[in-house]
Amino acid sequence: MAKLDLHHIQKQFGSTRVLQDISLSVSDGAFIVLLGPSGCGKSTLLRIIAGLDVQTAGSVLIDGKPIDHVAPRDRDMAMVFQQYALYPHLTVRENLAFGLTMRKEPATVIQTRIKEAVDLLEIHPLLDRLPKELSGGQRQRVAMGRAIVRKPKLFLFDEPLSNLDARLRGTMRIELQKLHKRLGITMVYVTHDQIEAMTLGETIVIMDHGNILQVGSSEEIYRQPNTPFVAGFIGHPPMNLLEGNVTTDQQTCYFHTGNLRITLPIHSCPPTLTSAVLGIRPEDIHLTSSETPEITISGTVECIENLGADLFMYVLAQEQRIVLRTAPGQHKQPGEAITIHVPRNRLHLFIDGQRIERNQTP
Amino acid sequence: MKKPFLECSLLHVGIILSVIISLVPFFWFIITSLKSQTAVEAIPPTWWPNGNLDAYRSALLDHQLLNYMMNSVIVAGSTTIIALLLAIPAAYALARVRMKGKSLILGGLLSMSMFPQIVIAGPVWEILKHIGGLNTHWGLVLPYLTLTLPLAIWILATFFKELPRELEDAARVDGCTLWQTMSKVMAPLAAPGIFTAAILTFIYAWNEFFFALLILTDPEQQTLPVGIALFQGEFTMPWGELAAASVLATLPLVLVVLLFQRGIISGLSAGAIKG
Repeated sequence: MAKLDLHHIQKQFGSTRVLQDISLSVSDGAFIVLLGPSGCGKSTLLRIIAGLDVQTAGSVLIDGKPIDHVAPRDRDMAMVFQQYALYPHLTVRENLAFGLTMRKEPATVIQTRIKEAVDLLEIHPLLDRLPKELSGGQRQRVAMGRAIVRKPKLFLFDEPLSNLDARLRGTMRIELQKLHKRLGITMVYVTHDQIEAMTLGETIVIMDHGNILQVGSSEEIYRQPNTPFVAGFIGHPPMNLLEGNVTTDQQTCYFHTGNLRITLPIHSCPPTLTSAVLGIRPEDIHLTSSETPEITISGTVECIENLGADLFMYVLAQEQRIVLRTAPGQHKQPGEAITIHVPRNRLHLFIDGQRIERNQTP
Repeated sequence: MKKPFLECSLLHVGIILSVIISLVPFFWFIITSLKSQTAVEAIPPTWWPNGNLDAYRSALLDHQLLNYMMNSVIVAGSTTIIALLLAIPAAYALARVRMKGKSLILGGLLSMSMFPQIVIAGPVWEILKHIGGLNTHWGLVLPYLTLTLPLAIWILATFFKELPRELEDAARVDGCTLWQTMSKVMAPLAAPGIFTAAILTFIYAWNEFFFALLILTDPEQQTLPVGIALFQGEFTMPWGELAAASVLATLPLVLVVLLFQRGIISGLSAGAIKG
């Protein structure tokens, strides 16, 4: 149980800066997910927390105390790795006991801890096997077990599910959530998978190019993305991001790109022509008009993807491709003319890479 | 797919030729060791041994072969053990620890193993004379270490480099010091490399003749190759005894290699980190 603070962490490998200036606070018992594309620095940040890499500048604090000069083995953290990193020459039981033996815990404590973890993860039949005799999912459980027996202050996960098949990943996600509820230990989880992040994280930290772009709950990040990057990174299919300009015309604010002109619900617009990005979530686009104030765009159906539960429709409107997500059962054909409707309060506007709220003056 | 006949038979010829070329001398001295004194000297030579074990009896009893063998076990055994104890940490450091001049050290080690022995013979003898190492086993182990360490370190460093880094990270987070990471996790996984280095070092020290002849002049201390070479006959060269002694000298080597080979194979098939 611990509170984790990162103060202005910077990391440079040679002349490449992989972490710019990271500050973050993780409260005791939280489940925090670092999410970003590969190369965004999330794994490096995790390794710095673990002490496996040393930051160029800044400080890592546990319960308010800096631990920058504490060796990884004395930080009392447990880490689950992407490739599981089970010791191939040791049986499952020995793998589970390893960290405790190294810490010179008494044999009885080791026995009880292993028993608890084994019961929790239901890996009893595997105890005397070697890692090479386990399937991917079983190895993942053992790797998890090796972290659990330690009862550490902090759990660190480095993309632990990325080597599992989709179905197993779903199961493990649920188990991880249960595990966190049950153990109540602070967890930091690194992933590039937005579904993992959205389902697991109480708090999601979106990273790109060594910067934190947004910190928030999955709801906040989905509803109010800070930047076009966050907007496009979360959600499937990704948010439609139309690049164009905003301008004022007779007290009304317009966004236009090419021949497409959309009235914006912003009270006051930038006085001059300003480049901007307009975001529309595919699921916020409707094929029929509703009673809420909305915008309408007309175009033609380009193609249709039916996924069973969902239907993705690609619409060309004035040379802009817009994807929308709707329920199957739409009998539109490619090439057919279509009018789409978007509630005004569901439009996202970004100017200079920053989100503009509806009643905010840019 | 069926291979063309010519290609296939060429392969077989190649195999048979290399087996013959490498095994004929061994075959010859095994036959010789089983002949009686007269059969050894018969002209034309007889091809079939008469199963006479006199040469073995004589080699073991009259020429104190067991004494030489014990000396060889001590020298080759301690060379191997000490070389590994030094080479494992050195190789681990060279493979994994970030430090300056690493490639210089590795290059230096490699070039050292290329020097002809005769270059260091004089200095080694002088040094050993000063520190009282002549005619002692440790006096022979020292130059053996000089000559075997570079190769052992190179072999081990290669193995350490190939082990996944995640395992090291896991060990460090799990509470290992650098030394424990090496001894408890990395070294057991580099077992095939350790076996290979052990075999090569042992074979070298067991067969080495030149330094053994130079440093050990006292018959009580001499190792097998020197001892056998200096077998004295009263009137004739004792070919039968020489052959018998050579067979006996080779046996432990074959045993050691077979023993370690099993280790190498099981080590190689155990690796897999991820399925």
